[in-house]
Amino acid sequence: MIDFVKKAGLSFWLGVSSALMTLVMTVITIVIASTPAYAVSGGGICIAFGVLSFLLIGAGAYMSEKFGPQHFLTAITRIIALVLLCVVFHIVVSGRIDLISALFTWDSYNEVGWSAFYISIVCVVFLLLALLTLVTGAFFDKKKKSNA
Amino acid sequence: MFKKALWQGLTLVFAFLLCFAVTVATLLATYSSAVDSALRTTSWALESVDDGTLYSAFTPDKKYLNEDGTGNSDALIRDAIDIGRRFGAEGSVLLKNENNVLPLAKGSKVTLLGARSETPIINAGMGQHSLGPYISLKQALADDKTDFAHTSVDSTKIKEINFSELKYGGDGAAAGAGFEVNPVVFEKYAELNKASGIQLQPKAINNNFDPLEPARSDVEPALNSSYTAYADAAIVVIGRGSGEGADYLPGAVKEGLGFEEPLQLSKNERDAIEMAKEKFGKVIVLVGTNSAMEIDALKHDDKVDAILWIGHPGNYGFLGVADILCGNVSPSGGLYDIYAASNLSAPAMMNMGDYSYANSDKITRKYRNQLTNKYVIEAEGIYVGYRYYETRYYDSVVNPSSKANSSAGATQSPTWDYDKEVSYGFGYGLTYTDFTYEITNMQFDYASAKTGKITGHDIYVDFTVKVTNTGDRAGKANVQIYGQAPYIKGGLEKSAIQLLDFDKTPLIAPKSSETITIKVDLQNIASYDNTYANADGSTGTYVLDEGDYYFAVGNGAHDALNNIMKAQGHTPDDANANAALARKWSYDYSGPGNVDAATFSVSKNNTRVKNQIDYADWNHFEKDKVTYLSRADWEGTYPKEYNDMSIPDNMLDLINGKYYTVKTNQDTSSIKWGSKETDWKFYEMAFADFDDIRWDEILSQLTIEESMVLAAFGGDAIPSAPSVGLMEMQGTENMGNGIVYTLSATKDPSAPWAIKSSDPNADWNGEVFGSAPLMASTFNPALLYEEGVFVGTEGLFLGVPILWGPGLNTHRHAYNGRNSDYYSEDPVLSGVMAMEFAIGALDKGLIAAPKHFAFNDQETNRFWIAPFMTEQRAREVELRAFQIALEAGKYDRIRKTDTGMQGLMTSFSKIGPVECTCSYELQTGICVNEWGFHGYAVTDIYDDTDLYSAMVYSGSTGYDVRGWTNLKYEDLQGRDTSGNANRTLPKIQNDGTTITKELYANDADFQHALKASNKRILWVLAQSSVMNRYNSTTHRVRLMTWWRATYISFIVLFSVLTAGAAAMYVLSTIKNKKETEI
Repeated sequence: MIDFVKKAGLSFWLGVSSALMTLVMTVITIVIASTPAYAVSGGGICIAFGVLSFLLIGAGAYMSEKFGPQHFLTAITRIIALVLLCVVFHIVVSGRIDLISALFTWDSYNEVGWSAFYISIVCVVFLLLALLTLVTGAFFDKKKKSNA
Repeated sequence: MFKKALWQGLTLVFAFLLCFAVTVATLLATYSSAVDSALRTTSWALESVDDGTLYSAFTPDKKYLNEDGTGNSDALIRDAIDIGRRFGAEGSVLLKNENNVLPLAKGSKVTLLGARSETPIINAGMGQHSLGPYISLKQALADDKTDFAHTSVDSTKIKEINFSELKYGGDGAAAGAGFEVNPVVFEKYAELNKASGIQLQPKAINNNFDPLEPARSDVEPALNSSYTAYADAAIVVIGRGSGEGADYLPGAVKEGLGFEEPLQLSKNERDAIEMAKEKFGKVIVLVGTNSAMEIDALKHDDKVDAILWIGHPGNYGFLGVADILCGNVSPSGGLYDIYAASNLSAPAMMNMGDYSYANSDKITRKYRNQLTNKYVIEAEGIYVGYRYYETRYYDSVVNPSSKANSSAGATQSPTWDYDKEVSYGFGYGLTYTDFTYEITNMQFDYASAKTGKITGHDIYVDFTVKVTNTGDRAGKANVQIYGQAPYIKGGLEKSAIQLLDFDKTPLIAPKSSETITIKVDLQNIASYDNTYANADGSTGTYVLDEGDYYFAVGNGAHDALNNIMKAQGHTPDDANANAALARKWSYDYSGPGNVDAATFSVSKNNTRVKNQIDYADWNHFEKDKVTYLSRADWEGTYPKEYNDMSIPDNMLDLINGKYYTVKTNQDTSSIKWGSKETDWKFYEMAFADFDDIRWDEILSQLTIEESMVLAAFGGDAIPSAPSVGLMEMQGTENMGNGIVYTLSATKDPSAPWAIKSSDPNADWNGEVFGSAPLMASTFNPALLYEEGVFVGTEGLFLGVPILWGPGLNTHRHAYNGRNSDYYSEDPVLSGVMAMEFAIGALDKGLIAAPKHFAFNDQETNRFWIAPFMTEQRAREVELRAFQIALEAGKYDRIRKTDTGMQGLMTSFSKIGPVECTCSYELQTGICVNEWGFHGYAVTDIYDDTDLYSAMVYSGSTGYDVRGWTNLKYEDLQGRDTSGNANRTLPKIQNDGTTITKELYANDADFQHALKASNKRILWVLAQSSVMNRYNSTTHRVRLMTWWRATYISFIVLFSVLTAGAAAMYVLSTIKNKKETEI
């Protein structure tokens, strides 16, 4: 295992990073989905898709080392994860539009609402970082050369 | 391998961009209305085949049209500037003018001081805010044309206009002030303001308030180096913002700024005035606030020569302010609120802010995830604003045994002293000329006047007042009629003085006179006795006690009261009080108890007036728990702070929102839904009478799902109802200072006068007029009517049939964050102004809907607050404003149809423990039954979304959930008659039940309420300008906007790129595989 890790290429590490950020995003999504009065509708789907994306990205990272970063299995896991994360992005953003509209107009003193808004921003930032690292990882084609 | 990696990477990149584009497209499509407003586009429109009847019901005046019938934006904007300018000129109030320092001579070289001189407050932070290009104070004083290119709230641009080309309401004055303004100091403030981040439209701040006035040391070097060349006068500008969501709170100021209260002057503000006093011979202070600032020190400062209150003047009002400063116009405004030396001296201030029930743990109902556990006890009773100060003053002179001179409530001296407690009274204002007033006639007007007995339910008194201009300048005069009802010690509480009606003269030339007649509705002097035992067993009605009634004109309430006191033989504090300006009416009533409880016991809508909202009073639940302020004993009843109230058991169900129980056993078989017996279409109901029998038939055609949705969806859009051919359409919201859309974003692009996006003024936004108190201070009903017609015309240009405004709550105290949005502390001034605005708007087919009905007395805890008060207080102050506006009695007399206001927005607030939106007694008992309101009463945004059944049953006709329910036109068009309304309604109610049509299957009461709600909604729309667009061919079309075209293009592009990259990835994979095999 240690040897596997030592030999892992950039694509693998980007995949791992993406998976971790997806995990953080998923945890934040749980908070968003359970915020009293500001629970995002579809929060359950977000959590499920977040977990699924985490697993897929993790699997993709593993497969990028096992079969190569450009193997079609790796590519498919990445694409599916990307689509799932985009769905989560859509749910979170659309679930916050009304709140954002209110906070920047008639409800600007809503402290709980601002908290929900800021948490959502953090969630979206992690989601976008996860996507960015996922996509970036797809551009790296070579495994680290073995010294053996 | 490299190419393979590249194509895989690009596939993911393009797939991501595709997903992102789809997400953005979905959001834009869902919120197309909001996007249209922001981007000045039109996504949806009603389209009809022109059969010769379209666009004939309501049309803009010819002056706003070109010869070919197209719209003339230039004429529209010039009139907006003219009206805005006149609000500034007629609404600004001259409070002090020692040695006639004002007006300044044309060509004067002046120095502007104060942060607000460079960044003036043009409007409030939310609600009554301004959009688009504006004219600053400096431009109004020194320039000869607009500089819209550089002076705009939101960077939009329109054509520039020379001031000299502007008309001025037909009164002659036109050009700017022609002053020269010290550029060095002005630029210094610009630099300092940029650093401080001071805002053009600031809100009220409830914590660490800082007016952001720079320190003297930062300004003085620039002043010293330049002021000698601009030394004709110093004009110091101070101000306070206000807005939605927060109040100013006692003591909530930033430390170290040299003031203790937010409406006091900070040390830096005082220093700015000190600099002016030290260096200039003439010092003029402009007060730009709607929250009464404490300016007593300025009043008594010999070196402050003039004080001019300017409110928040809106986009063009500074032209009017400049007109006053340079003498183009003689000021003619009167104060909208009383200005006390200390705002904390108002008894209402004893109970404002954040109070929670001591036993909040008993509460189960939550709203926005917070227990509905907030309250405020309005222990001041009827003594709000000037009613308190003037009545206590009167008693201090006339009824010393009332202990009016005690220390209770005194803030300026050990014992209470009016002259020390009050800086400027309600209605007060100076002019540049002198007017004398003479009541030439007082004529009673009631049905049986000839017999000398009152038998009807109306009494009007025509006051004919001759106003003579004895000075040497032309000017307008406002004429304020006040009244005093006889007070019996220990009896019903009565204000010693109250405004009954008012009007404004035309421009009066020097040595000339004008005579005006003002018809006073004596309903406004009747007192509400909520303890009166009616003959029918009910309790409470309006009464007139037998005795001497006095009426007077005066320069404000205090002056009128002094005139009455003089007529009564007392010695008022003003030696110039004039008994001849007061009239006595001795009412000899021979009925039971010497109390006339008959005349106003029946409303103008022929409904018995009796107690409706007993639960407004805490004492209804716990006897004598609250002591209300009484003039029988000012000292013993002066309010204490009620900060430890515990909910009694008999109040708990109401606190928990248990207002309505769905019936399960009523026979509903005779109630028709989805009937095919008739096939009326909405367009056929244009301008139909409210009692037209076809309404019942058209209501039967609606499915219950359509009906439930129609009652659930108000605010800025009105849903469609396919069974009757009703199409979705737009409304809009603000506080009555114009319509928020830009010309090119019209919702009615088919109108002949619609402004095209190519028009140089296409970006002009209609929300441009000043704050409500500025409008009120004009005391000019005709100007409000004119504004209403103009905003109605905006509605025609912008395709908007409903405006959720103006604001109509009364000011309980100076610290209310929304005082900019509401006209005044006085209900008559507020109600008349709102009525005039609404009737003017209605003339152009715009339904103006005042808000917030009712009791929005503070912004703190506004979603949960339960204000407690007597029904007398509720009816004589807050509700009287709405009653005047909704009844519109003035116009009922000359028009054949009900012309009262036809819209209403309910309040977040409760009345007592009951949500206003769910109070059957308030919405139906008073508003519909007593006042005859037939209009469309929408809730405030998202309010009480868990109380659907109670809301509909109460008589609130529309539920403002805006985009929250995700109801879309497409949903409704696509559904079948078996109904899928569940997914478009807020599902779960407070009592845990889910809203379905089955829920109400056996509830006839609810179903009837639903139909009543729908009828009012449809009837109101059928009276509006939307009927310009309706005929048998009307349908809704989606228009292609540039942003929609853009997202479609991106989706297509990224789809192609994703597919292409994926294909290349597959090809490169295959190629690699082959190469490997080789």
